[in-house]
Amino acid sequence: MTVPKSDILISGGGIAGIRSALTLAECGLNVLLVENSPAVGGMLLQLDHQFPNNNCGLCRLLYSADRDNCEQTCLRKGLFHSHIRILTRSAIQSVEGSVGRFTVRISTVPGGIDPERCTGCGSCEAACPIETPDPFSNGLKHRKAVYLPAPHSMPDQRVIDWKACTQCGDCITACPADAIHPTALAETETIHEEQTAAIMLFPGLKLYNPALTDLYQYGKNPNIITSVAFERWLSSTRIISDENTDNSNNSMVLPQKIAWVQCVGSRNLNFGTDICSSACCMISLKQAVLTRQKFGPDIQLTVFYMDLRTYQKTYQQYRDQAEQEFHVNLIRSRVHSIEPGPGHNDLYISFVTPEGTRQEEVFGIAVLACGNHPEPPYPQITPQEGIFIADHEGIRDIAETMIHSTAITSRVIRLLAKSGVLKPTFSGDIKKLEPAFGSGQSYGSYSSTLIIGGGAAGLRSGLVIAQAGLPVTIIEQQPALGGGYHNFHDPELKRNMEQMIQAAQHHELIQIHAPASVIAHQGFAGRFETRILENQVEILIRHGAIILATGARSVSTDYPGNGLHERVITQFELEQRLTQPDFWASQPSQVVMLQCVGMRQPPRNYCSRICCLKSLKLALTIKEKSPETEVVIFFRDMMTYGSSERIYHQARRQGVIFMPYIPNHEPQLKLEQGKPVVQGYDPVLQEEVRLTPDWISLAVGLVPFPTDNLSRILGIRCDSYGFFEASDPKWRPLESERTGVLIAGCARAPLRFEEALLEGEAAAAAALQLLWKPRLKSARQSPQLRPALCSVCLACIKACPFQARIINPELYRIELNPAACQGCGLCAAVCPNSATIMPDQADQDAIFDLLEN
Amino acid sequence: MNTVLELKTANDPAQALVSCLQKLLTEKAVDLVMAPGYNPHSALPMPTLFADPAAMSSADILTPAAPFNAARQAASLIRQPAGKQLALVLRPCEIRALIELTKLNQCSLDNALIIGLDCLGRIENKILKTLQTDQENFSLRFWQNPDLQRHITKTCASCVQFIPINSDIRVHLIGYDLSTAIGLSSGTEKGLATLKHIDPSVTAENTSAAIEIEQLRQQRLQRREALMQETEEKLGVMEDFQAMIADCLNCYNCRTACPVCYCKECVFLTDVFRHPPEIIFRRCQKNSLLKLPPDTTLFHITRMTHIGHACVECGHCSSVCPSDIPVADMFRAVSARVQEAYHYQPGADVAEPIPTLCFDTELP
Repeated sequence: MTVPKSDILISGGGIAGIRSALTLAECGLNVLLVENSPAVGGMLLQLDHQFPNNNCGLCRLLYSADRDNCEQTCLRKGLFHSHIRILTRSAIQSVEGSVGRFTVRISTVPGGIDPERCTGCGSCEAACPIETPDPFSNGLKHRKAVYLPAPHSMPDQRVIDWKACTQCGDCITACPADAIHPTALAETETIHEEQTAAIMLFPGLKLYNPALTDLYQYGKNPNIITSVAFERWLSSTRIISDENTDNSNNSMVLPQKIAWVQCVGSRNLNFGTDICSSACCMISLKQAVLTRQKFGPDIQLTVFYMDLRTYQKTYQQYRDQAEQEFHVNLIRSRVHSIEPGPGHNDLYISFVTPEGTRQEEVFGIAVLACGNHPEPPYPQITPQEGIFIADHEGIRDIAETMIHSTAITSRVIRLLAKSGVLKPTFSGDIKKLEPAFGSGQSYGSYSSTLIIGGGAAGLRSGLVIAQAGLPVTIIEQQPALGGGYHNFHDPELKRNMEQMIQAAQHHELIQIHAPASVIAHQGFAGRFETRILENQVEILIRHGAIILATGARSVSTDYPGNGLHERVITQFELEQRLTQPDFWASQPSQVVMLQCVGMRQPPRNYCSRICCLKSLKLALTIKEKSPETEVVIFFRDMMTYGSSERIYHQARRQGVIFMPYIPNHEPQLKLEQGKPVVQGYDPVLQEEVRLTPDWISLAVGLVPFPTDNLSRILGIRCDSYGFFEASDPKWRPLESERTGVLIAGCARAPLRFEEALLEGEAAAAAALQLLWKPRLKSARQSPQLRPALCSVCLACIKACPFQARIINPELYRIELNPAACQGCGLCAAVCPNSATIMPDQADQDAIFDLLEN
Repeated sequence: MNTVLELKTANDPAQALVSCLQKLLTEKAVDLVMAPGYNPHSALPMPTLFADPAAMSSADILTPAAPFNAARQAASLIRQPAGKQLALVLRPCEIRALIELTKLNQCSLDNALIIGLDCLGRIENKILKTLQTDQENFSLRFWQNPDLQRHITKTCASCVQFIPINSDIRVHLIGYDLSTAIGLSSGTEKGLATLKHIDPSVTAENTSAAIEIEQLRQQRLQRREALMQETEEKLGVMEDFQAMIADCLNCYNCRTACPVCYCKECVFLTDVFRHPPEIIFRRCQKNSLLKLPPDTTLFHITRMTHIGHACVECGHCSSVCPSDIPVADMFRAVSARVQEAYHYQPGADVAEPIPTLCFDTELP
């Protein structure tokens, strides 16, 4: 057997690939990252701002545990990790072998410039006579044939675009370092072989090309641009001129009105895409908000949408803010056509208003929110065990990408552990606590993971960790495992859960305590001690990581319409009734479903994600069994993102009637002569509709199980709705602010069943990443404390984002937990008299020079 | 709460107040009282700790003397629970400082009963000594004689926060004819319970007091704004600032006098600023000359950075400056901007977090 040079080969250097590479590298595995383009970072390099906080945050991809293995630098510059080898401008040609011993042929296109000699001076670029449209700006700008792959690449070495290069040799003459050889000026693809145990493929996303249809006039008018181009336009290096200098290639005029056209290449059977690309709604909202922030109140911003899919926990708030605070005009309408307008490069956008009338409006710029254009990825590779291909439907936003790629990573670790290729290097639990350790030192850790909550996410993560070979303790508040499963009526889900419960109960590495609850907790990543109470007996559990999977439940009583009439029921009750014969025996003539009951408005201003799909499925069941029954769904935005859009399509085809409504004009429920009546508004007919259905189903949404107690004991923040809050909702959606404390499933945000399973898997990978190695290492640089100077004002404790500082009540002084400390230096920054300092503070004198003369 | 009760003074308001405090001690409502008072050898009333009601005859509650901001001393008495209840008689700026110190974990208000005085301002120690020919009646004369009131410090004359907030009991003085009566009101449950010991009989509405307070506030506000503008004009760029503090000796008096400069040991006394000679020489060479002691600019800027948000505008930093640098004017001008930027009002609310220690993840 050949020893693999790299344990895992990852193809695709976008954020998903980077995330997986980092997780695996932190487990101590060697990773080879193969990227097609000249720089890693993928599409995110083109996007400077990310919703919902509108900043960058790319660096948060870097792990906080054992961080010193990785260069802590801006990821726009590049990725530098001791366990990750990167091949850019490379692609997989073929794969042979099987799990544990793959041989991969990789072709690499040379950059043309000798990295050993290049000083990054840029003379070659200045000398190059070629101008070619710059794909980085989506064609808004031109670049040379020798260019910097990304604005901040490090080292700042240019590469040659062989397609554009005419081999004139000007760059060779211009280069003062002789870094370009005459012989280099030919594209000579090299091919070499790599050995690897497993392969992960992240095809990334390919945006729909709007030039494929006449509908949007893309390519015919320079002011019709794609959302990626607009993002470049907005960036700090933007290509906009404030003056009215007309269209040269390098400038665009600041328009008075900008329109976003949603669902370009998505949700459109004419284009062959029956799915929703999921992230475009938020991308457009973000762009509108950023435009407002950058260009002030005078610009008119309009988004034409079909359903505004703000289905993640904080996105509804973002939408509200965009509308109310940033005055983004949202119009529910599919754009009919875009035509040349009255002025030069102006545009007529014609659309059908919600009232059904056709209207035409002039805009300066139309931004096409292009969806994903799925292509069969990697035709050269035959799927087999050991090759993991990421699902490439739709566009995932960053958080979902992180979760998805981490989940796949856990499958890789599990497979490699199962097939004996890799074993955890774990050498057994520490027997007794080692003496205090300082910064940069390693410390032994406990190998087990404590999972709080035995529902879908908790069970799945427990199984994954156990299957990878590390012990797990699951505690569940209820007597039986399964979370909300007892209320499931979907036979497949039920079966799925039963299997997981069985597997967990019989796995030798899984210990289950139920009913049990947490009563006390202390420690830090790798060395937690938690006391639980099971049958009035206190049990001490020592563990290295925690996964919080306490789940959510449906709103039970606190919703409008509760108790109005026996025929006004929640969608969960309807689901149950559909399984009973009397429902069908009564031959209902009409069923009305109300979406977003009590949801997506304060105090529960978030989408529960499950309700739209559930209503659609219920409607389809009704239509299937009783086609005569009329089903009317009153909705705000159908949240059928991704492939669930197909169910929405199907429901429309089956004749389910959909009636949109807006907040404050909700359909009213009342009793008339003892019977429930729904009074709504039909926007097309523009009149009141009054329905007297047999059943009214209310989509009441999800709320988290009470978390206050755990939040207090574990020191993990909750949001205003009671969900646990991640340290970074985009880049570290499953990590809490405390290293080693992970959040998965509905405890974090409302999720669908399969999404909760995925989060369970992802959280498992995060726990494995921490515990796979025998010893954890504290950050190299952590602050020094000088108690003699300290006034114990507690400023540092309040400022520390990692809860790494504690007060020792006996000595009445501040102490540092080097394992939790990330070396950020905030404590030293807030300490007024240097009672806490960061060691090796360079350039301490700089400030003196600055101020004194 | 908040009802103003009237305390008859029978021509001696100081004594009336002292009687109240004595009563608190006798009835064990509190164990100790901290109030301004004459000590055997002091020419000015100093913050004094009284345990014995009989000794309280030397207290001078209404004195315009405030040799230093008493908040630091008060905080040191309630630094940790010591099983005693303390009544702390303080001026509004001293209470504000005490609240800031509480936020900084330098003391706990659990065992403290804050008695806040309406404040007309204080007179600098030296001036007070020349004015104060007779100890006996000077304090009352000060309250009754506008001519004497003109001697208050520049900072006090432009202070608009002269009514105590966050006190358990407020002593209403402004707008009262002190020879006949003063007002007492409670701001907390604790204050309300304590007032029952004092038991002032009458509830009286003094509408003229509110009018008088408002008039004074307007007057002071005008002065404050004028002074701020004047200082801001002088502050301008770094050179202007350096010109303003050119005479600074690094005596650190201002830092010592500052009630919210709370460090056990100032960073300027640590090794951080104990430069090796080479560094000093290098700096000298760079600019061809170097003012000694060095780091005076950095000293003031550092103080502004550390506690600018917490400046309670008591003005003691100016009072103690041997070089007559208008430290308080300067500090106040900067602090006001900082406080405005963070919407922070020092001393307003003990539960309000210190702005520099808050993470706002929602910031755009």
